[in-house]
This record gives sequence, C-alpha cells and structure tokens, in this order.
Amino acid sequence: MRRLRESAALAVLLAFAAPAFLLPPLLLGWITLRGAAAVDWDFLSRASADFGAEGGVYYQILGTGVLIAGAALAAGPLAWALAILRRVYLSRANIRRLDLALYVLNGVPSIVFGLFGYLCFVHALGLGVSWPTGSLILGLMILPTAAVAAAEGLDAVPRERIEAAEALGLLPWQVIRSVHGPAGLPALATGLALGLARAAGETAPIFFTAAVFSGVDFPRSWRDPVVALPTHIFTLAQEAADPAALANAWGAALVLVALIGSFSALSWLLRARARGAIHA
Amino acid sequence: MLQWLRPAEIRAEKAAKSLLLAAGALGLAAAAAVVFFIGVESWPAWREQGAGLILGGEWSVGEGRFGALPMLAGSAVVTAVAFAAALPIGLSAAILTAEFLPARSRPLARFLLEALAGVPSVVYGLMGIAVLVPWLQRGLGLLTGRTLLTGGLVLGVMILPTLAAVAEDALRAVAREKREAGWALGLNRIETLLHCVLPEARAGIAAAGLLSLGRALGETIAVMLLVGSLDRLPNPWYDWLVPGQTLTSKLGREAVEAAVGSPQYHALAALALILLVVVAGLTLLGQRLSRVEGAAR
Amino acid sequence: MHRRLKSPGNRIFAVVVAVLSAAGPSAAAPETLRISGSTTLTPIAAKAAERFRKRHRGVRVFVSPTGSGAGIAAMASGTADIGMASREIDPDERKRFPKADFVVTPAARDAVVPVVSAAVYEAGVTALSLADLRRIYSGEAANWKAFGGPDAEILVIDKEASRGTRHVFMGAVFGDEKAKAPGARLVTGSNNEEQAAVSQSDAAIGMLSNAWMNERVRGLAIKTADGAVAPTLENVLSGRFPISRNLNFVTDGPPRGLAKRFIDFVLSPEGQSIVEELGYVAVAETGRDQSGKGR
Repeated sequence: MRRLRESAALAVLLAFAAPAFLLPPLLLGWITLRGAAAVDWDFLSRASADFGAEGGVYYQILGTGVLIAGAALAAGPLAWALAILRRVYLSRANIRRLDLALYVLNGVPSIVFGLFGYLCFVHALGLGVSWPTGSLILGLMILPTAAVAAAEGLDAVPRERIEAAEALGLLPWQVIRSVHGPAGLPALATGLALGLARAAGETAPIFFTAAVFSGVDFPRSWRDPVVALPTHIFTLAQEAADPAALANAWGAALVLVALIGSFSALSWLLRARARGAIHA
Repeated sequence: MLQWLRPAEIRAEKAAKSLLLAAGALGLAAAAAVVFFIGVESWPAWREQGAGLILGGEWSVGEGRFGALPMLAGSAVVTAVAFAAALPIGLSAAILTAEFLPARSRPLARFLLEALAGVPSVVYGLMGIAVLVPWLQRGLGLLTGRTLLTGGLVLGVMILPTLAAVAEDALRAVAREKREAGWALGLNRIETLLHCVLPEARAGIAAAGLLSLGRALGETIAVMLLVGSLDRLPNPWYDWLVPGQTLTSKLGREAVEAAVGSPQYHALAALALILLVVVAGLTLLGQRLSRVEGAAR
Repeated sequence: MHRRLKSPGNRIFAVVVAVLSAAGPSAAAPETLRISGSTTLTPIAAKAAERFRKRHRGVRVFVSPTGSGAGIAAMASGTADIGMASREIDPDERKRFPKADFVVTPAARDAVVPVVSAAVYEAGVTALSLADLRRIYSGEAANWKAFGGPDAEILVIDKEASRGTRHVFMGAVFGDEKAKAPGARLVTGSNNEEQAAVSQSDAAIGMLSNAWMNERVRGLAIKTADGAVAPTLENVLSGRFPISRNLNFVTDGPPRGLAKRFIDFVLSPEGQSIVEELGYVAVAETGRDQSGKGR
C-alpha cells in the first residue's frame, strides 16, 4: 500500500515537473525557429528601414553594446570598491547597512528604475535622453549583483594569504592592492557578466530615458540616444498583425537571446576559472 | 613597527580608505536616492487624495482623479495566477532534481531549469502577443486574447526558473543526516521527503516563493503588451478572462507623457512607490531567508 | 606598461574605453534634431528624415513614436526639439507648461476613421452615425446585431487618454476630447497596436487614421444628414468627412535653425509628396504657419 502511494506520488511529481523541463527547449526552439528565418548576415549588418519592417538590426546591436559597456564601467569599479570596503574596513553594523542598501537596490522593479532615471538623470541632472543616462540606470541595476559577486570572491580568499600579508607589515591598503584586489577581480567579472546579461535585455529602464526608435547610427556625443535591441523588439511587437514586422521582431529577439546567452555562458566560464584560480 | 611607516605610505593609506568610504557612501546614497526621489515626488498625490489613491476605482487624468484600485487588483490577479501556475511546477521540478534524479543528470536538469532565466521580458511579450493571445482568443472564444489570465500565464513561465532553482538549492542544502535519519526509520523516499526534508527546507522554499512573487509583481514589459491596459476592476471579481491593468503596465504606458510636476505625475510616482515598497519588501525578505539557508553551505 | 596590456582583462577594458570614447564628444559634433510624439506622424517624420539626411550630410534626426501627449510634454520640457501632435494643444497642457510658447505648424492632414474588423465590414456594417458611435463607446449598444451586423459582441477598442487620435475622435463623437468610454473593452496605445488589435479580432471597432486602414482593418463611412460619407481621400480633401484634423509639428516658439529647415522640408513639394505617398493629405498651399506670421 505504501509502495503504491510512493509510486503514485512520484507519478504526480513527474507530471507536475514535466513542464519545467519541457518548456525551455520548446520556447527556445520556437524563438530559434521563427528568428532564424529572419536572421542572416544582411540582417546583422544592415540598418533598419521602413519602421523596422525591413532591413536589419546592426545599429541596435551596437546601441545595446554601448549601453552595457557603459553600465559595466559605471558599476564595475563601484562594485569592486564596495566589496573591498565591506571586507576590509567596515564594522558588522555598517556591513549590514550596506547589505540592506544593496538588497533594496536589487529589489527595485525595472520600470521604477526607469522612472527614477527619468527624474534624476534626464531632468534633475540634465543629462537628457542619452546613452550615458541609460548606462547609469543599467549600472545602478546591476550594482548589487556585481558587488555581491565580488564580495563572495573576497570571502573565498584563504585566510593564510591575508595573514601572511599582514605579518609582513603591510598596511591595509597595501594588503588590498596585493591580495584582496586581485582576488576580487575575477569574481567581479563574473558578477558583471551576469548583470550585463540581464541589463542587455531590459526595456523599461531605457525606453524613455536612453533609446529612440530611429535615426541613430552610432552615438557620437554624450548627449546622443541610441537604438537598442529590446526597444526595437518592443516597438515591433506592437505591430503583431504585420508579418514583415513580426518576422523582424523574431529575428531581433533571437539576436538578443543569443547575446544574453553568451554573457551568461561567459559568467559561468569565469566562475569556473575563478574557482580554479583560488585553489591554485 | 612605526619606523616602517613613511609619511607617503600613511597618506596613501588614508587616501585609499577615503576613496573606498566615498564609494560606500555612493552606494548607500544611490539606494536612498531611488526611494527618496520616488517618495518625495509622490507626496503631493498622497496629500491630495490620501486613501482615495488606493481605494479609488477610477483613473481619470482629465478630471484629476487618480484611483489605483483597478491597477492594484490587476497586479494582484496577475501575480496570483503566475504564482499558482509556477509554484506546483517549480516545486515539483526542484524536488525531482534534488531528491530523485541521479547525481549525474543534475547538471543537465539544472541547466534545463535555468535556461529560460536569460530570456528577456520583451521576448516573452513577443511570444505572448504573437502566439498565446490569438491562441487563447480562438481556443476559448474570447472577445480578445489580451487578458489578465494571459499576462498571468506568461508571468508564470517567467518566474518558473527562479522558483525552481532557488527551491532546489534550498532542498540540497538540507544536510544528508536528515534524510538518513528518515531512511533509518524505514521511511520510503516520499515519506522522507515529506517529513524530514521539506520541513527543514521551509525557509529556503519560502525564499524562492517570495523572490518569485517580487519578480512577478515588478514585471512590466511583458505584462504591458498582454494584459489589455483597461483600467477596470474585473467584474465579477473572479472573471480573469478580461482585459485589465496592473501597476507596472500603467506606469509603463503613462510615465512618458506626464508633465513633470503635474498631478498625474505625482499620482504615477505614488504608484511607483507602492510598487517599490511591496516588491523591495518581498525581495528583501526572500533574500534574508535564502541567506540563512545559504550560510549552511 | 604594455606588459599590462597583455592580460585579457585589461585588453577588454581598453576596448570598452575606446568604444565609449568614440561615443563621446567629438571635434565636429554633428547637428541633431530630436522629434517625438504622435505615432500618426511618425511615418512622415521618419521617411522625411531619411530623405533630409541624404540632402544634409552630417545631420541626424532622432524619431521617437511616443504618442501626441508625450511628444508635446517632451518638447515643452526640452527633451525634444519638435513635438508631433495629431491634435491641437490642450488648454490643460498650456497650464501645465506655462513657460512654453506653443507654436503649431500643420504638416499634413488626415481623417480619424472608425474602423472595424474585416469580418464585420463584410457582414454588412459599412456605415455608422456619430450617434451610433456614441452608443457603442458609452456601452449602451454591445452587439453588432443592433447595427445590422452579425450576432457578436462588439470588441470596443479605446486608446490611451493622451493620444491625439483619441482626442479628435472623442471630440467629434462626444463633443468632449476627454470623454470617458465606459463601453471600452480594450485599450491600446500606438496606431500600430490599435491596428494589430482590430485585425486580430473578428468583431472589433476602433479609431484610426485613414492612412492606416488595410484589408483587415476597414474604415466605416459616417452617416450624416446628407447621407453616408466614406473615408476616401477625396472626402477628406474636400472636408466632407466629418472627422478630420491637422497633423502638427509643435515647437517652442516659431521654428528656428535645424528644426525650421526640417519643417520647411516637410512643407516643400518633395516633403508633401512623401505625405501623400504614405496615405495622408497634403496641407493646403496657403495655410502653412498657423500663427499667421510670414516665413
């Protein structure tokens, strides 16, 4: 009787769990199928035309690239500094305060980031609708992820190394420079790659603060907006009844998912290497 | 020791420390700034309307009346649908992976479970509007496929990876001894699971749930495209096959056009504040709970 | 120094900085024009921008389809140089932006047409009166039967409140641009979205510019005292079609500099031929600058 119940329970578990394993290949396969029909070298290397119904996504890819490069520069050093600060200088109480701030930041919905960025960066700081605004907002979004990753990297440094450095009479900042700093960097890179994977796909923080729909090729000044993959897909998705626009939307979606996938893969690779390096 | 410290080194030490502290202050300031800005900008709306902001059923820019009730209801419905769909599936998948799958297949299983985590919301929106909306419309004979349920279902798929992954982590964090205790007592795997493992993993699973809830509530783009954007309470309250509106969808649609400083703008900031407080609260709670579990690893 | 550059991390960093410096200030900052607003005007602005850029090397024109209300707000708050509005400025907007000197330059004309799904049109509903539209949008009439159509619930599609098309439609049907539509069953934003929503249904009615009608989204004639007026180009040109409007470029003060050059281009014969190519109506020769001042 108990065996029957066990088998029945197992069957139920399997039935419920099945979608979790079947949906990923199904959906990713669907995106690949619909997207591959539109993506070819032309698509990747030409500008869009006719409201996105024709042409490619070359400048959208570049625009997304500029936004996340800027986000990396905005978040990276700050995340690294925060991780080191946390490890070396802060008291328990202050560590909790910093952690709280980072957790709060991590929990802010993306549209609220967009609204904040609009108020603070576009208007209050006068940066206008531009790619630096977008990079700052995205950088803020990924700061917690990067900082937590870097902090974990620092926590993994074997105590002996720190003690050895201190025994040699090094000042805290010298210890940072020789031990903590280098140790934190690979973990930071991992965290950044993870954060950038997310940032690349975000629409709400940038669609009224950094991106326009057409007219930009490559931004040529600090005040220029960009065209980006997520906003491009968003606009095209609203033309759901037009097959040409839809086809291009799928193509852009495939490109975006591939981009995000490669960043995720990169972060996974970096994490594996970082783990190896610590024990080297 | 003091004779080893040269003035230059002391200065460098002080400079480095100040720089790092400044960075810390910047980090704290950033988090505070977000909450502060949104809070301050929403204050006039709270002052003007008070509870009417939350309880009012009508959002009319022309008349200066801003009632968020339809949005709150919509957000609640969409999140509830998403959670109801994702919880059984995600938890079952987590249990299967953590307890029943051979160790060899675990990496593959985890990979599958987390594969969709990287798909951005705009792509989910595209899939929803190109595939799910016409399908539901035709299949269920609806007036329109853009409904609260549609949004909820897509949201459910979106939160599934997080839910499954965090729950699986929580289950695996349960120490082997608990399971061995169960087996020693002659319990089979399901009974061990129910009586020995799940109670231990409660906090971690709750964390998974809270984080997913937070994510579902805060999701904008996919919901905006699919939910119908109609500022109306479902009537009767359980009819979710109708278009509706969520906090995020409203913000997404109107944030661009509100003149900074106008009543509409303050009301939108109030919506953002509600969203911020609830989602940040859920996420914070979830992170605290999962940290407790994670510390054991 | 170059030993440091050998490490992959530093190399990536150098590339990132180089890329971003290219995106930063340059010696000859090109002239840029920011246009945002109505999705009705966006095709005109985008196509004109393409041609304009070919004439004026080094000029960039950024176009954002955000909606009439958002375009006016962007222009008034300095985020855009030209706002596109498929309606007139609202007194409420003048109050909200007291410092802005709104100057409206019509660039084209079109009609706001009540459109229906092809299935409804083919079932015989080809004309409705303004009173009929009132009944539908207020929720009094909920089935196509009442208008000689199939026995099907009407999918009443409304637009976001700040959209130009909605202002004009509500003004004509209810006499109040800000009228509420209790009978609405779905709300869309851009013209693209509205068009897609109407074509995805078999029983929908919506409001759309005449240039956006197609085989799946059919324009109804409007029943007036003199019979049904179809939304044809001639009827819009002659003014017989009851719901027509100017499609405007809005600037802060009279257009100057690059904005003026662009607007002049759109008003030129070449620009106006673009307008007509896209399905809209050219503005009359004489009615160029609404403020009455000469050029």
